[in-house]
Amino acid sequence: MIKLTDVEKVYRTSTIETMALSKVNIVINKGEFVSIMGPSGCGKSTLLNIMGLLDEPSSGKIEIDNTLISGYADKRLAHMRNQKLGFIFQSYHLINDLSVVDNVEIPLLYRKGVSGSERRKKALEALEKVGLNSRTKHYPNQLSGGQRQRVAIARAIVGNPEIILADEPTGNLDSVMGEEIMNIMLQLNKTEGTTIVMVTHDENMANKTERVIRFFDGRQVN
Amino acid sequence: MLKNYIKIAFRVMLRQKFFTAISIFGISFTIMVFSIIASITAITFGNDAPNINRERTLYYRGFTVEGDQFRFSAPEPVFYDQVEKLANVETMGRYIAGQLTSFKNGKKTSIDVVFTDEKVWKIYKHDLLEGRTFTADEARGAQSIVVITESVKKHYFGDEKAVGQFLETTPRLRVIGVIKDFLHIGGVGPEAAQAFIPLNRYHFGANKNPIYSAIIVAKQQSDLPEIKQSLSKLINERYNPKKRNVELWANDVYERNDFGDYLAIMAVFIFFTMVIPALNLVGINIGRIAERRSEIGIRKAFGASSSVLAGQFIAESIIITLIGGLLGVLLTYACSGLVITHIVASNDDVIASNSVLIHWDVIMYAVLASLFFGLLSGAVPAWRMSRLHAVKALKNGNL
Repeated sequence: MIKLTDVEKVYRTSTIETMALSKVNIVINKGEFVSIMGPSGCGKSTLLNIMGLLDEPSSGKIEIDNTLISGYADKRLAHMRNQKLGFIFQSYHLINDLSVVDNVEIPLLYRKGVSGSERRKKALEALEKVGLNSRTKHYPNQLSGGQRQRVAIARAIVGNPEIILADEPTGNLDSVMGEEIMNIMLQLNKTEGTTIVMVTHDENMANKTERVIRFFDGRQVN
Repeated sequence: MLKNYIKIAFRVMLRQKFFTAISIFGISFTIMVFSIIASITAITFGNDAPNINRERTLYYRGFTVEGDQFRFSAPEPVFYDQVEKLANVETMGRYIAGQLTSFKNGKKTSIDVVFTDEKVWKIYKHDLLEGRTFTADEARGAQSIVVITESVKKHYFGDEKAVGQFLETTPRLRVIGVIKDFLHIGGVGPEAAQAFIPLNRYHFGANKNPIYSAIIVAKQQSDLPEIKQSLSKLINERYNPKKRNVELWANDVYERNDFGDYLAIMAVFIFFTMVIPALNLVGINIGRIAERRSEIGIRKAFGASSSVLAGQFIAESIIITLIGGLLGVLLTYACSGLVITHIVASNDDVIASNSVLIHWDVIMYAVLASLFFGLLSGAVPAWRMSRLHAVKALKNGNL
């Protein structure tokens, strides 16, 4: 599903060069639930951004669904993200000016041929899956952290992406809420067969996934 | 997608109430100023009804022979007959402008009147609301009849029918017709009158030596200089036997109102009134969009391309400018009454016209101009911000 070959990421300024990722080779299979672990600054999020086509590697190859992503223009990358990928972020990243249901609809806005009523129907279905169908008209700042993250999951799954990339999805939540979010993701993986790559600091959460990839100082260590 | 843009535009506007208010006020005020100035220009110089022949009209008031006293016009009817027969003159109307005074409920009222011939109904296009206008025979016959504007009718007769009733002025005049109010700025004679009285009726007034002015309509605008030459020639032949220098008092509308100076001043004024709010909007838009870095990152992550995002921000800008534009139209409508009362009316006693100083074409252009400036002011920041790197936008965002 996702294949990274010799991926490197170097951040350069006029005076310093920082190697964020060094010779990363990872294959994530269809339907897998994989965690990426490592200390802060080891390159986990950079890796996730590269997998999510939000950032480009300095060298190496990325393949998604057997398609080599190379030299894609902005529009094509956006289309690819819209069709194949869903994101969940640690700080939820909901748009406060939009209601819950409008937030969930966002990925479908950029999908051609989806009517307004269809968008609304799918968004409500996604919210039902995460158990938030009673809060559709609320605004993000009227919700608890756990509820916000559930909205974020609904937004990630509304377009039925094959891959979900979650960057510390339980990082801002207490253990009970964290468990809840983890269970939703496990359920998604199990029932819908969605491939999930999750960055986490939490060993307990990581142990619930099928495989753990560990990073240290920009290098894969297992 | 547009519904989503509108929703978010309104939420953002409400979130940034102060900047939104400044922005919308800037646009609407600019549109008001622009519309009123442009409407005044159009009313003063344009060919809109009733002044349908204005661009090919020569306003003749008289002449001065060097060393002689200033002489308003030529008193002899034969002179005008000769002018009217010039090959490139289509028609000519004579008039004498003045004011009639009356008292109603102890309050003095003045009416701007014009004594004129029947040609006025051909030279100008008036909307007749009631009755009829006077004929050539009636104009020659010096009858005590009058055609009034609707605001004069309203003042004297309220909602009653005016035709057949009398204006209690000196002389007492029987109303035969009512025409729609029309706007005039700097107009002369029939262009500024509120009541039209047959020309020869003037001979029965106190002034036994009438001083005519004439409105000469050329067949084409390009004929105007030649008509002026012919006028000079006629004056020289009839009134200047000693061949001294003659100064002709005959101008077209542009000469009459110093059109060139007026346009230059207006152009500079309009430029500044439009450019300052536009630059202000650029600044506001940059700030407004920069505050939404996180949203840019989110939308990019879920499939928005840079061009789609730029489109969204431009659409938001257009929504704001459009609201400002519509408010500007309302503001223009509200303020035009004040302009009419304080600028157009010749003095405080004159009955105010109920016309509104709005030139719809001008307003349409003003709204289009504001949309253009909205687009321009939205496009630069939208283009800049839409190119923001998604990861940086998500990292630095503060949602």
